Amino acid sequence: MVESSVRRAQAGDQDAFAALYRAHVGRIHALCLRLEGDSARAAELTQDVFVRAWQRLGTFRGESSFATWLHRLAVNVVLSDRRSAFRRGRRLLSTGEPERFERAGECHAGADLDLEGAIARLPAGARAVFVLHDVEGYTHEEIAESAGIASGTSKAQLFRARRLLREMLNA
Amino acid sequence: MTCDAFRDLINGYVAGRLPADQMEAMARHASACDGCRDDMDAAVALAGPLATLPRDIAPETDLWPGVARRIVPAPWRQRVLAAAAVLLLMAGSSVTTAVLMRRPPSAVPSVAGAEVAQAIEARYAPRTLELAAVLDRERKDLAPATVAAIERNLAVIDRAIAESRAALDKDPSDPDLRALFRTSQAQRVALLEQATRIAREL
Repeated sequence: MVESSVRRAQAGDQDAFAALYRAHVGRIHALCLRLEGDSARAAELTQDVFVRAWQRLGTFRGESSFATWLHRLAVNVVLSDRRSAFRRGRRLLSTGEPERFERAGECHAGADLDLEGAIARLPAGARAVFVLHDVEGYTHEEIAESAGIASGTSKAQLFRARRLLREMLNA
Repeated sequence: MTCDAFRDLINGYVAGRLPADQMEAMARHASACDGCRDDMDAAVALAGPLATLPRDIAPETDLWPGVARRIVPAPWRQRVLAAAAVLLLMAGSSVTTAVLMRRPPSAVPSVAGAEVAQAIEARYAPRTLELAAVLDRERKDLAPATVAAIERNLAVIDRAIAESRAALDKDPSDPDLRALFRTSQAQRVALLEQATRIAREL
């Protein structure tokens, strides 16, 4: 069913692409929402992902499932967007902001948060690594490649994210 | 066990997926290293809540109308491609058919015919290959409908080339067949140039 929709969408059938959108939008929106931590921006990025998917459908060769291909495309769209936004001399997932990490834990102390809310309050770099590694199951090497950082940076961000989350959830 | 190795294995340890000897090594390291024990405690504390996160979260509003508006090809592009398809169909099929229909078939392709065809192909091959490589790189930026239209047109031209080449093999001295074969090759170059131009303008 999905493969048939993919083939028809690749031939330019927008109805087939709409069916693919309906089948995958929840998964892609969840990813965008967790990576961005902002529902309005997540909605925009979700649309960007599907527009990009339409433009690049010709490159989908069926080597992985369509869901996997789309998910990786979404990660790239969000991280590219983030790189553009942060292109003011500051590295995207830099670990060089210890005070900001500490503040993230402190300023929300006492708030009644679930994990979803706590993830949204993480600093952007730590949030991206935590979501991609612990929620989505990417390896540090894959994250490093997508985000343009060293895998050691990805590991450092992950452990900071976990500690901050534990602090927020225990507060 | 190093701290780095310990941290690489934390998720497996928390999920109980590691072999027994690694589980024991992890426990030994955690008991001796405050920093790693703290990392492990954090991972353990988050494991439960992580397992409850939903896989899907529907957007608050239907985003499809916004997507649909952005994936409609520009009208001028649709018109250009449609016109190109009609022209190429006329030039590729009907001219080929008209010329070929007045040729009596011969049984065996001649060596001279193959050489004539190869000499003509050699003149167009570098530009054809160059443009095809550009299009391969840039097709990711084209809408699927555009890619499909280009491929349909290329298929028409390729059929015309194959037909005129087969005729040329049989009668390499016919100037009309040579001209037809050259025209088909030039049409393929023209279509590839047009397609790469469209891709660059996106």
